[in-house]
Amino acid sequence: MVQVVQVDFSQVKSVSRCQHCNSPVPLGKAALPRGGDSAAPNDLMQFCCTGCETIWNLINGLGLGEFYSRMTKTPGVPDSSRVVRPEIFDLEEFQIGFVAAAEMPGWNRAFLAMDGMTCYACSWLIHSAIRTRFPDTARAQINLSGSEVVLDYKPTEARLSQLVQLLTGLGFGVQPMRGQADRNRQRTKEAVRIGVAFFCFMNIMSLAFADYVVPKNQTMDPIFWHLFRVVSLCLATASVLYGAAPFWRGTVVALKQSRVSIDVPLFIGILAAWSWSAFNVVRGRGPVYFDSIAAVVALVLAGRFVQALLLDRLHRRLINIEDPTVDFVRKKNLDGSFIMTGLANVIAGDRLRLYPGEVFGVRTRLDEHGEDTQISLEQLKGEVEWLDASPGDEVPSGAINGNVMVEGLALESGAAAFVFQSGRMVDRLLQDKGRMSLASDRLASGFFFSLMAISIGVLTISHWLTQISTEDSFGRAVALVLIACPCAFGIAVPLVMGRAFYLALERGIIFKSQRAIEGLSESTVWFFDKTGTLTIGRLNVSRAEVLRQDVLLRRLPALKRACQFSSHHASESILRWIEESSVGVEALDEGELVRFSETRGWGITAKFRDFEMDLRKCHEANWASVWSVNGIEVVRFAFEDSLNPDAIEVVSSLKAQGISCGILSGDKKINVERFAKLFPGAWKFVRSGATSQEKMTEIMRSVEASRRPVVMIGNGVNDALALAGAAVGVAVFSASQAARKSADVVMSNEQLRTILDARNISISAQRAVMRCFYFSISYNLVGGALAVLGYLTPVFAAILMPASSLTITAIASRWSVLKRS
Amino acid sequence: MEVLLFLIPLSFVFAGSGLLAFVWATKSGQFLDMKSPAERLVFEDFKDYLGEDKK
Repeated sequence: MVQVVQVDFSQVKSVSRCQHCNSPVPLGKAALPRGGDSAAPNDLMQFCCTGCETIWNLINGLGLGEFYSRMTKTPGVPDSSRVVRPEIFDLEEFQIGFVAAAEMPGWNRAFLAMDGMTCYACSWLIHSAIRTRFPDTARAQINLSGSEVVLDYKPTEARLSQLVQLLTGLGFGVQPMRGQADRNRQRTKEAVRIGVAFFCFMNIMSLAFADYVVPKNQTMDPIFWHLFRVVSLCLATASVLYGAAPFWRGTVVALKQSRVSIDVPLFIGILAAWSWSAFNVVRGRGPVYFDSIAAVVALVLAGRFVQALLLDRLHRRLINIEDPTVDFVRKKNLDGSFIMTGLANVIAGDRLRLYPGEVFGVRTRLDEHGEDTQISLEQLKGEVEWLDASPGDEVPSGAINGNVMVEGLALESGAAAFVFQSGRMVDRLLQDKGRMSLASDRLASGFFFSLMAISIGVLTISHWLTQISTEDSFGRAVALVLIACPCAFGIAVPLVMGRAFYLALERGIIFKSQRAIEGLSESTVWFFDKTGTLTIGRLNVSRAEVLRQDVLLRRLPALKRACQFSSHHASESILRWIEESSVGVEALDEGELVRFSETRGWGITAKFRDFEMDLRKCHEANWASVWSVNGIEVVRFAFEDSLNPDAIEVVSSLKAQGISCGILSGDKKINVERFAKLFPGAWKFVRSGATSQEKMTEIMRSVEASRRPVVMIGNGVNDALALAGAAVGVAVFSASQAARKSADVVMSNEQLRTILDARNISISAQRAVMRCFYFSISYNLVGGALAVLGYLTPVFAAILMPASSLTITAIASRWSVLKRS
Repeated sequence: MEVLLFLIPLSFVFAGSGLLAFVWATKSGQFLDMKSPAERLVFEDFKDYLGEDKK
């Protein structure tokens, strides 16, 4: 039987056990100070996950802390999750974008995204908790469908951090929803616009219907005929001025930036049709196209609205996996206390404090009197080993702190730090990317303008040859513009893309824009980062040489017990190795653990009642650690970052689809070359030791060479620039916040093979768009030919117009149905 | 037929009031959350959810 081990925690150098469940706290997991930021390092409390922290708070909050001294059995370990520090919510610079003055004077309003709020019981709990704790100083409006809480509070009496702490204490994840107030306002505006557009459309149609059904040999009563046309003109004018406002605004923006946008042909078509119809109403003869104009405006607006709602959902999903604290550091104030502040406010010489798991914002020299810690450069260089960092050592900007609270001096200003600079550069690259035309826009506009050019040519020639009147040829030209008006694209593209966003989201893929969907299907070159993308970014035992089989079998449980108390990456790897190996560990008795100590840079020693063991660095070549019992070497271990189980499938599948794959890694040459050999013949390109900037340069070079969109898949801070520079950047599940921010596609699914789904969805979506395009071309060619030859009566054109839009809508949703099944 | 001259404006009045109702409902945020209002009703103290002036 496994005995319950009583260990005096004061003997363990750094606290690395979960305060609640007593299981080891993973390296890089955040610790919470017991007494706020003025706490001494010994007062750090660590939890393996938010669940444990919640239960610990709850139990202690009820004054039942004695529970822990009575506890003889360790509970199970829940799934890990992120810890967000509530105190950051009080910072003014953090509040930008989600806190504003409420309607009530003296009150503030905060928009918060709630992770885990699913049913009315949750909303009852939140509502009741806030009412009990802050009866007169705060009020919550709960939106269950959006999983958000709008908090109104009196900042003079209730701090936002207190409210957030209360909510996280209830077990919910709380994140700021930046720009939510603006988004709500925007959606309201759009909904009203759609309402007005459909009102105009329906009423114009009901008036136009009379004209459609008049038999050929009869005419309408002239009074009604004129009246209907005038009323239709008024309604269509409202539709063009108010409903079509986004189109003419989009046209102005596109022309200013001298790029193509679908708004330009849409607007030209609508304006031409409206002007000609208005002119005909005034002079009392000739056809009018108000019904078509109103139909186009209403349907295109509706299509775009659906797409915007889906993008909002994606945005909402992104918030849940965001780390909003990444641009903030803890700096010592004049009065000696530590305050959170924006990275840009740090100057060289400032004293900074970092809790476990936090990122060093600027280059920092560790405090001479502090503790040893471990740092990870994984996000910077792609190397997975945790490195030892001693007092006085210099730590680069972008490194992650291990499991000890450390203090240090900033060696550079925040604005000069790598993390900050790289962030600004990413912003610039993304801005440039945002200004590029969408492929579907280029397609639609090219098609429209070439059809226009052809028709004008044909009209001019036919005018000279057939001697038809100028007025007549002008009427035909307008009919042609109306037919060629790529409303089909205006409607089909948002619907198809919206559906693609949704299908992807169901599979854990978050496309941030339509551009990403287009780029993914067109790309022919894919670059992969190695560590954390193609590998799992965690060291595992790659080889183990057993020197004493008998001792191994007898003492393995002791090794397991000792490793559980260590936070070193080697111990964690060995623990996994023991669990995965087939030895019946639990059945054996490991004896009582009497003493345990861990020395950084050396290893661990554990004394049991009958024997002593240690696990330390191995000095033999090719071996990393050695385990000895009573001085006798038992097993030697070597470690390696293991391959992502999906990696080979993904790369070979891409290769089969004719895509050239490459590795862009910051890791050492020897590691990358050994790794590349695992995929025989798969790589067109392998680059090791690349810095952030070099990765981006490689991407740019490849874009120039292939002239096709290039895809980059990565996870680290050092991939951020490349992700932003590539046509499509994909941040994998384990990605850092910087990578997520600069990527166009974010995976919220742990399986790497989901990326193949993403590509399939984008290819299907592009095919659906092309189907709509082919339909539109054939339709427009036939219609255009009839219009030029004068066989297409205006009424017939007007009926065909919405009919074409509806057909396109059907094709767009047909794709959705197929894909769903 | 002349009755149309009366009926058509009347239909516009009806349709227009429908549009106004829709605009009002949208602007007062009634479409922002389609789930919570239905569930609030089962709370014992659902009056708390209404604004101060409506209690």
